[in-house]
Amino acid sequence: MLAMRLKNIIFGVVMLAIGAFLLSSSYSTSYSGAEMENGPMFFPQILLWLWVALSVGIIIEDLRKNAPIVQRQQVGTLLLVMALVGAACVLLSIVGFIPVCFVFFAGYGYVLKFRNLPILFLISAAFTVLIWAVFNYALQISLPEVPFFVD
Amino acid sequence: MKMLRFITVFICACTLFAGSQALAAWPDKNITLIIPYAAGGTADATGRLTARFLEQKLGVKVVVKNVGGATGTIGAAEVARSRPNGYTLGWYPPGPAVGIPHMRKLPYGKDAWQPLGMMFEEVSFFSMAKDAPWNSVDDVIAELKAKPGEYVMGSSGPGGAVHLSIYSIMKGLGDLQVRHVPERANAEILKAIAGGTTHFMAAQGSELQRFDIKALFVVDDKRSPSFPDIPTAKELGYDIPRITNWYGLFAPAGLPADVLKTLSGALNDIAHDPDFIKAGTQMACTVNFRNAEEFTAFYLEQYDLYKVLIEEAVGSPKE
Amino acid sequence: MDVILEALAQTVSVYGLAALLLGTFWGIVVGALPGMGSVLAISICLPFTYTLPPAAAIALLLGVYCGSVYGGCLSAILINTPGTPQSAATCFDGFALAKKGQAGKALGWATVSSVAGGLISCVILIISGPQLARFALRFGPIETFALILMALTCIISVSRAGMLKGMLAGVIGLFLAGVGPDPLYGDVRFDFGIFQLSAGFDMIAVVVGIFALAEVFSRAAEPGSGELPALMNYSGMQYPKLREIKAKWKLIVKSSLIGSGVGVLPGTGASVAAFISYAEAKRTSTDKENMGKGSIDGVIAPEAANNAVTGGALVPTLALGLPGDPVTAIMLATLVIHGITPGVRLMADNPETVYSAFMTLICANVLLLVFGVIVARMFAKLLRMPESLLFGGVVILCLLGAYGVRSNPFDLYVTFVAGIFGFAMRLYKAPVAPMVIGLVLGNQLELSLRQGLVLSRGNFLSFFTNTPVSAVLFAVTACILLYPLLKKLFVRWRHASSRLS
Repeated sequence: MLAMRLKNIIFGVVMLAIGAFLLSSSYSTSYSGAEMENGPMFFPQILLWLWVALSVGIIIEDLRKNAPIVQRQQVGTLLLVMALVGAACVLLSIVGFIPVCFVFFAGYGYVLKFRNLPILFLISAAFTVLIWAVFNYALQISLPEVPFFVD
Repeated sequence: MKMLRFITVFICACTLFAGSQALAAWPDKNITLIIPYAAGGTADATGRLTARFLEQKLGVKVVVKNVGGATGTIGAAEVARSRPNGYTLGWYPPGPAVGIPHMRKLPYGKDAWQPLGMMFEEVSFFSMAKDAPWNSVDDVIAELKAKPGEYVMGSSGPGGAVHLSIYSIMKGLGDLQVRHVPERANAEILKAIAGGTTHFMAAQGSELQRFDIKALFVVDDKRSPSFPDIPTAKELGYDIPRITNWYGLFAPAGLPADVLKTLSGALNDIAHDPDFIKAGTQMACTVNFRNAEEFTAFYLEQYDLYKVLIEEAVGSPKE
Repeated sequence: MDVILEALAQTVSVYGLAALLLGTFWGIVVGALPGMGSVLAISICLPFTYTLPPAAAIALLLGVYCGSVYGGCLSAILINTPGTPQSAATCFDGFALAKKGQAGKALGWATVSSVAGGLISCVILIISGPQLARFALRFGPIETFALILMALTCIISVSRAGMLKGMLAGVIGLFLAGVGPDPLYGDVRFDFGIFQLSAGFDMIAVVVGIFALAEVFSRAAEPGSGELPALMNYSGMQYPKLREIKAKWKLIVKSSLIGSGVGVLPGTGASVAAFISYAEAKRTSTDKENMGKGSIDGVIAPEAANNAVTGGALVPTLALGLPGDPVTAIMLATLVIHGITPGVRLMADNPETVYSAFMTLICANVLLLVFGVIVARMFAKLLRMPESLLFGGVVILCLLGAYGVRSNPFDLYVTFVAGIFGFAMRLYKAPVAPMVIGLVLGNQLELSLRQGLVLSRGNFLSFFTNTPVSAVLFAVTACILLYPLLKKLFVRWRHASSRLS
């Protein structure tokens, strides 16, 4: 029971921690004008106090619940997908669009159990080229580029 | 032996290739013009207009990239850190170049730029609602001196040209005490004036034409050709610094001399092109050209002017 | 009379019609693609508007605007990821209906509601445009503050998991909006020394993360995911019968009015209108318990409202020359480039432009009925792909959409973190909607508050007595906040008194 209750309040606790951190940093003197009446920190501090208070309220509310809030999850796949997406976000502007798109598309499909490798690579390549062509030529939106090819 | 020969040939080929690149005339591929504001604003419209004419003059595509955020500084920073080879240019108003550096720490400074040419410039008109009860500057001064802090001046953001314009006007008219209510864009100031919560602003000629406001004077050396009946501040005896909202083309500092010459020449031609002037007028923007040298001098002078004004109007620069 | 004929001639000119047809179709397609929103769709069209005659340029932009606001519902209903932020509210009931196998019905209702919303707002625009615009002028900072506060309270009050989590979500959203330059002094707040953060958080990046990426993570986490299920059976869009539409006319009209009103007033937008309309429908619907689990009201309300904003936002744009949202700002700029000055002079100088704009918007809305079916069919074909491939593509499009707004790699990191956070919120049953609304409205809320304090010289209490408009808005806000509490007290009083008798 205790384990379940502890799991239930994780959200509230994390929110409380973040809110408290932000609140304390808003009082630090690196923000000059923090003491001003209608100053830069005026509104954020109202919000952050609310944030902290609400987090406490949520912890209390969730503590009193009798059932687990979070359902069973398939953690392995989830973490893989998160890692893939995260890597794509970071690498998109470092490595460029074409490699990241291809690798991500294929990787995501593979993780989600699309195991027909030749078809997977084919579709990944086709998708990558299609998007690249449409964005570059038809739409003229700049795609993230590889730094050393750009002059 | 074969390997060595291959390497030698390879190195020669590379050198020749690199050399030919250096010899290739600029420009030989697309130019990116970074506009540090969202699509649809005046900065964007004037920038795209200039880009179109540049394309015709230079013979390569000039692709516009909108990089908005932080009142123009994100886009400006991107130009500042790009390579000064003439393929990345920036199009800005005073804000990111001469204003905001005095308000917070930025990844670029006074020497980050090679100004290429100023294309548009809007002078400020001291404006208020059309049905406001004052018809002369003396009336305004008397009223504001009698009721300090009662009235409100509007701006489109602290430290911007519009803010510093109205601030220096109030100061020049005799240190008149007004409250300052900033808005997010000029359109909002006009709305506030129409709604009665703001009373004074520094408006541009186009706004004077389109909206229900009247102007008592213009801050310029001469009267505006579109409004010949409006006197200048100087004529009325007031010494107010000439703060304008301008748009110009910038490159990162360190541009090669030949590229600078080509660009400068192109901008000169464009600014005198009657089609360009006509397009600008249709957009209600005034074409006013300064070439690279003039613009560089102007830029430096504005940089120092804004430093002083911002310190007074907004407060000292924060870290 | 000949002005109207002139306007008609302009609208049905070859260029005008072509622009309208292409624009609307393009708008629906882009709107339906997750990650690509209205602003992106319109920015892409900008270069074409230079070479077109003014009426055709406006037709193109209006078509794209109208189409994209509608198009978002396609992916919202079919894959639970809103194609545009304006359709985020449609996901709740729309996708629930799709899961029950009623995707065609949901789409049909969404289309009809969107068309109705758009047409009703056009009628309002035509009849009372200038008066509405003048009313909007009376919204000074204090009224705007009261209005936004009321909107936030309304949305929070219907969050399913209870007020506390909803309020926290709203507060977080408001806070995130505040990261960046202070509106009065220009100081950058909470950037922790990271230059990219000085621009604050872009709404598209956050919305894409919170809805689309969170959806992707949810699907990955679902036990048994990865088997290759085809997405739900889609047998074509089913338009509701006229009799059924008549039964819902009150909801449709109310939602359209909300959307039109929100469009006319400053500082808000279509996504806000959709959520307010959804919240209002939930409060008054006869089908209350089903809202969120697959009630058709949950599709009608937001879709009617978000399309109604298109007509409403044109009011200040044309009548005052002041744009109502980023999309109308671009439209305004296009008009100006063509030498047409919206504002008080527009009816006098270029009346045929005004009438032409009305006609175009009406036509664009009607076109939705036809194009909606076509695009829906296209998308349904795409959906036959295995989920593992389809969502790979969705993610890429979303990342490009997030990146494309400001061409800023930092936005990608924001999207990722927002995705993780959105996923966590789903796990813990915290509502996401108030956070998005907080982010959208935060800047305007804070600006209005601080402006109001300057005007009232620091006297906050005077806010409540400023003008009748602000007093009414604050009163309504108080009622919404206190309503659940009062209800509980009322019930308890009832119990006590019945026990006594």
